Amino acid sequence: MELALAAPVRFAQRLSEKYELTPRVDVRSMLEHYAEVVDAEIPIPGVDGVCLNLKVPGKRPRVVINSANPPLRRRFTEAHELGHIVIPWHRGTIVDHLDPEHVEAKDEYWLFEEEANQFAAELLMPSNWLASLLASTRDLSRCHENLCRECDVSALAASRRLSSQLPPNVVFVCEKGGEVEFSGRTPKTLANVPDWGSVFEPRVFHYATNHYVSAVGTRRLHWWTLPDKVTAVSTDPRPWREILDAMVADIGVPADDRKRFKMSVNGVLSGANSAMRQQGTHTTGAVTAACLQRFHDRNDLAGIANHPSFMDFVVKRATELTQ
Amino acid sequence: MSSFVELCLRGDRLPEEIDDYVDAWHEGKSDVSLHKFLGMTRSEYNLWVVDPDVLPFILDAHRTGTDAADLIEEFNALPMAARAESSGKALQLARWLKDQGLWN
Repeated sequence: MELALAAPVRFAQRLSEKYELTPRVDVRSMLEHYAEVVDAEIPIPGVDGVCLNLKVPGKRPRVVINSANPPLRRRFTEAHELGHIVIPWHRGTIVDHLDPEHVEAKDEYWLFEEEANQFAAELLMPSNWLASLLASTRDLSRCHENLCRECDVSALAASRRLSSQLPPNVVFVCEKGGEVEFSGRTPKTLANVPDWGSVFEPRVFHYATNHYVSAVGTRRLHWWTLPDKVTAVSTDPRPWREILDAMVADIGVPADDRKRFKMSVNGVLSGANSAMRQQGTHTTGAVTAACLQRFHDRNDLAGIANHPSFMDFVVKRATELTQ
Repeated sequence: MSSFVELCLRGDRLPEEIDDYVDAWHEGKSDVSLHKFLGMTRSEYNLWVVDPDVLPFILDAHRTGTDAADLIEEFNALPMAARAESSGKALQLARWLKDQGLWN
């Protein structure tokens, strides 16, 4: 079964149009319009809500919301349950988890969960509203902050929504108490993001074009735009192999490990090159930018990435690969 | 012009808006029969006239290329079948819902 991406979003748009809903959407009232809603502490781990009697002829749906969850999570669950009610092919009884971990399996249960999440995201954070917000400022952390405040959604839900609407080469981190509470990147971004729960390192994307920061309560929302192309010219007269040999010697890679280390460097470079070829942006500048993202991700290659000759090496390799 | 069923499967109309389409057919001078105007087969239309609550099954039949009557029959055999991450979790939840008087 194919993942039907568009219809759930359009159902949310149609519902908003019909009932003239704008942020902040009173999702609870809408849910109560369609269903009997019960708040109860559900004692089963990981269950956000449950929707009963979906499309059962002659019965009104019943929704149970897990009242043990924080208010913003409950609000997203309400929108998610409304999605199950509105989307015609969701029926029976559905036990809900907002964070499907096995969506790649694409069985019907996870497909329905994903569709209900798409519906909820569009209902609470409408794409046309978000487009206006993005057009009003380049500061992505400010957009994130506004999205949380105006739409009354969690920082995590807002980050997922915002990143889904942005181009490649954008990364974000939500910092709380010096740690990475959560992180993410936009589709087709090569750079890896810091692990959730790791210590926050402010210079993690030091090569970024822009870094925006806003505060929401005790959280700091960091957004970086990474270069999609780098127009650098090497003035180093040496061929790239010679530059690589010199860098490897400079950073103290033991003689026995040098061959393997250089293979690793060239492997990362080839990966960046293939990714740009697949994305249809196979230029020297794009491959150089992709190399920046890939190399700065890797702790084992930090020595090379921070070497003064690194850019000369990358530019020469990228030029050769794209000729 | 797209039928109601086509629009609804794309998410451009809500199932509850079918009455507007029926009104539009009555008010217009359409040459086609109401079931065709709505995008249903005659047998689907007959099912819907008897019980409007079966509309989601008719829509799903069009979505999946199956027979609406079969979907209804299949559903009626197990109307409370729970979809969950695991069958164990579904059973646990069903027990809890029954204890709370929320199952029916």
